[in-house]
Amino acid sequence: MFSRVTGWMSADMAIDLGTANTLVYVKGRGIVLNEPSVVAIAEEKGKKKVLAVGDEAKMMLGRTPGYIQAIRPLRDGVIADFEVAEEMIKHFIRKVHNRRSFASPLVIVCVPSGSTAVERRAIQESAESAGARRVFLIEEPMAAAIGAGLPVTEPTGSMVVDIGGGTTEVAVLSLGGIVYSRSVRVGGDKMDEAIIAYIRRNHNLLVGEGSAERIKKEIGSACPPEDGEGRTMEIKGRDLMNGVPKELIISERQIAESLAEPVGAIIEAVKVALEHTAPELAADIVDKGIVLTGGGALLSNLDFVLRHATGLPVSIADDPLSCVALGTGRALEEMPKLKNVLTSMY
Amino acid sequence: MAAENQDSGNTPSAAGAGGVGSLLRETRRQLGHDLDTVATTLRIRQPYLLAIEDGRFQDLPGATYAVGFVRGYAEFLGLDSKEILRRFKQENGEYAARAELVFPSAVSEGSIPTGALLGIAVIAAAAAYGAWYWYQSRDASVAEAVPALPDRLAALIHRPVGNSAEVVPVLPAEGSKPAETAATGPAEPQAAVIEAAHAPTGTGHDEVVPPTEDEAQANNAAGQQAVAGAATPSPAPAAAPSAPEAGAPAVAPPPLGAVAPAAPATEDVRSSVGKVGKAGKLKEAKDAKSAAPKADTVPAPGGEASPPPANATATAPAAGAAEPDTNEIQTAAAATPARGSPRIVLNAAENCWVEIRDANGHVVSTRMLHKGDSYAVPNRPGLSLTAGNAGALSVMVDGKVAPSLGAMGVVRRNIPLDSERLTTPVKEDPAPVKDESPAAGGSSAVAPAPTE
Repeated sequence: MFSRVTGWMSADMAIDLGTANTLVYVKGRGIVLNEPSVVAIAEEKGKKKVLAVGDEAKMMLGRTPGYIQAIRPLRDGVIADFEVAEEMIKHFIRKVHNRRSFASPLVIVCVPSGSTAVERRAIQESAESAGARRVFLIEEPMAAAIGAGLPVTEPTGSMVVDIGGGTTEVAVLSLGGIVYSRSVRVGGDKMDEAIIAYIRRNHNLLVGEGSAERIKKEIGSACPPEDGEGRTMEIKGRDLMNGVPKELIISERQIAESLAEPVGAIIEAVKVALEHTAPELAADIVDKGIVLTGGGALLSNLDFVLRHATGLPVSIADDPLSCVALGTGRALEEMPKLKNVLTSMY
Repeated sequence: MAAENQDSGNTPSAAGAGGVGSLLRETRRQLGHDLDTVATTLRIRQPYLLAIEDGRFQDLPGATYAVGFVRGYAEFLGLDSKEILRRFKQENGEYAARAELVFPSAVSEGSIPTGALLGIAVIAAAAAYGAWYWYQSRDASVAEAVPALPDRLAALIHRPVGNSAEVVPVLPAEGSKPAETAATGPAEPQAAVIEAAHAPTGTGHDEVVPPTEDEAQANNAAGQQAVAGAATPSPAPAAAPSAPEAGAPAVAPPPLGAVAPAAPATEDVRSSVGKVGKAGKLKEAKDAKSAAPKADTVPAPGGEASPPPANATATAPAAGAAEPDTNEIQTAAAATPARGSPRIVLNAAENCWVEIRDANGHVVSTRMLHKGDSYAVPNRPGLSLTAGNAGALSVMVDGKVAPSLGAMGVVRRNIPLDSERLTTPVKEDPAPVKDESPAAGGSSAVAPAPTE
C-alpha cells in the first residue's frame, strides 16, 4: 500500500539491458538514456571503484592502463560480471531518476528469451540491489514486437527477428504470447569478432573491437555487392608480422565475406524457427513477412539476404535500435493491460 | 480514393492516391518494371503492392508492415527511402499511429467485482453497527431502575382473573352462582366474583377447620375450589354442595380426569393437617396452584363431558377464584404480600437520600426524598435500604409506623426491607412468621379489591 503511494512520486523505468547498449525509458518521458554497456573500474589500494559508465567508459575500452579496467558486464545478452552490472544499473537509475523523490522506482528489464532461470535471476537481483522497488522481466522478442508496433495481441502470427549485440532472437507471436522463440548467441559482437578474425587472417593486421564495430557500421553488408568491390574504408591496426602500426584499405566485398558466417547463423535461426511454426501461423507470416529489429537490422542487405533465403517479405522496423526499449516502455506505460507479458522470478 | 483505379497498369494519373503511391507507380513505369517482377523480387504479394500504389493503406496488414513494404519498394526502385517514408507517414498520420494492444483475457466468473462487493459489505456493516448503536443509546435513556415484573405478577397478568371478572357478569353463570352463594353462606350473593373468590377462603378458615393452621385450610379451600371449578362442568349443582361442606366430602365427588391431580393434593393436605410443617404447606400450596391452572387450562375435557359453554365459563371463574387463594397461601408462606399496595412505605420528614437494592445488589431505586415525600417500596423479597439520613425516615409497615431506623443525620446502610424485621428490630424467630401470616392473609385478602 505504501509502496503504491511512493510509486506515484518515483519515476518508474524500463531498461533494455543490452550487450552493446543500455537504453532507459522513463515513464511519461520516453527514452532518456542510450549509452554503451561499458563500465570502467579503477582499482585504488585494492578497492574497486567505478570510474566511468557508458560513453565515457567506452572511450576507454581497449585503451586502459593497468589500474583501470573497462568492462562490458554483459556477454551474449546475459550478465557476465554480476557486480559490475549492478554498478552500471545503479548508475543509470541514479542518472535518470528524479533526485528529489526519495522513492525507489519500479523497473522493467528485458531478458533474452533463451536465457536460463539463473541468468534471469541474476538480472532481476542486480536490478533490485541497484535500488529498484520492484522488478519485472519481459522477454526481449515480445518487447521488440510491441516496440515495432506489431499486432501481437491479435489472432494472427507475427514473426520478429531481433538482432542485438549479443543474441539474435527469432520469435513467432500471436494472441499476446510467444508461440515459438529461438535465441542464438550471434549478434553484433560476433560480427565484430568475425571481422577482426578475417582481417587478421587475410591481412595479418590486428584491429580492436571498436575499430571492427566501426567497419561493420560503415561498410558492413550481409552479401557482397553485385559487381566490383563496393565501398572501401581505411582501417588502422597493428601489423602482426613486424609488430608496427599499419593502415590499409578494406572493401565492402571483403567485409561481406567475413560476415558470411554470423549472417548465415542468423538465417539458419530464422529458417529453424519457420520450420517449427504451426501452419496457420506460417500462412500469416507468408502474408506479412518478417520484421527485423535491433542494431543488426541496420546491417545493409541483411533484409535482402533474409528475403532471398526465406522467400518471405522482410521489413525493417522504424528505429530498430530502440524497438526493445520502446516495447519495454510501452509495457510500463500500459502496465495493467500488458501485465501478462511481464514476469518475475519470485 | 481507393476505388478509383482497380486495374493495375494503365491509369497514368493516380492523383487520388496522393504523393507516395503515385510516385512509386510512376517510378516503376519509368524504370519499366512490371508489378510481377517487383512482387517476386520483394516477395511482397501483388495485392499489397497495388494497395500501396493506390494509397489503400488500410488494406495492408499493419502499420509496421506497411512502412516496411514502402521502404522496400522505394529502395528497390532506387528512391530515397527515408524521404518516401517521411511523406508516407505524413499522409497516413492516424494510420501509422500505434495500434491498441488488447490482450485476450478470461471471462470473469463473478458478475460483481470483488472490490465493489467488499466495499458494499463494509458499508453495510457500518450501517448496521450505526443503527444498532443508535437503537442502543436511545434505549439506554429508559430508567433501568424499574424492576422486572416478578413471575408471580406476570402470571397474574396473563391469568384470566380479570377476564373472569368481566366475563362472569355477561354470561349467565348459573353454575358458579350457586356455588358462590353456597360457599359464602352469610356473604351477600350480589358480591363481585372476585370477592366471591376470596370469600370462600375466608369462610373456609373460619368455619371448617378452625383448629388447623390457616395455610393448610387455605390450601384445602383452594383444592376444593379447584375441584369445584373443575367439577362444575359435569354437575353444576354437585359442586355447590361441596363448597359448604368445605372439607373432605367435597373432594370425594371429583368425576373428571382434570381434577385428579387436585384431589390427591387436597387429600395430602388433609392427611398432613395434624403435623403441618411450613415446607409442607408451601409444597401443598404449590400443588394446589399447579392443580388450579390445570383445571383452568384443561377445560376441553370438561367441556367434552358436558358441552354447554355456560358451564365452561363457569369453570373459569371458579378456577380463577381458586388462584387467588393459592397466591395468598404462597404469600402467607413467604411472609410477603403477593400484589397490590406496597406494604412498606417510607415517609421523609426531612430531605433524605435513599437507595434501594435488591438481593443481587442491583439498584432498584435511588433518589432524593424531599420533606414530605413518601416512597412506596415495591413488594419484593430481599430488598435492602441505604438511607442518608436515617432519622428523617419514618417507615410504615402495613399502615403501621415501624420503629425509627436511627437518629437524625445518621447514615444507615443495608437495612433489610423486611416487614417483620422493620416492625421488630430484634432478631426474629419462627413464631412471628406464624403470627404474621394471618395478617398477611388479611392484608392480601383486602388488597385484591382495590387492585381490581
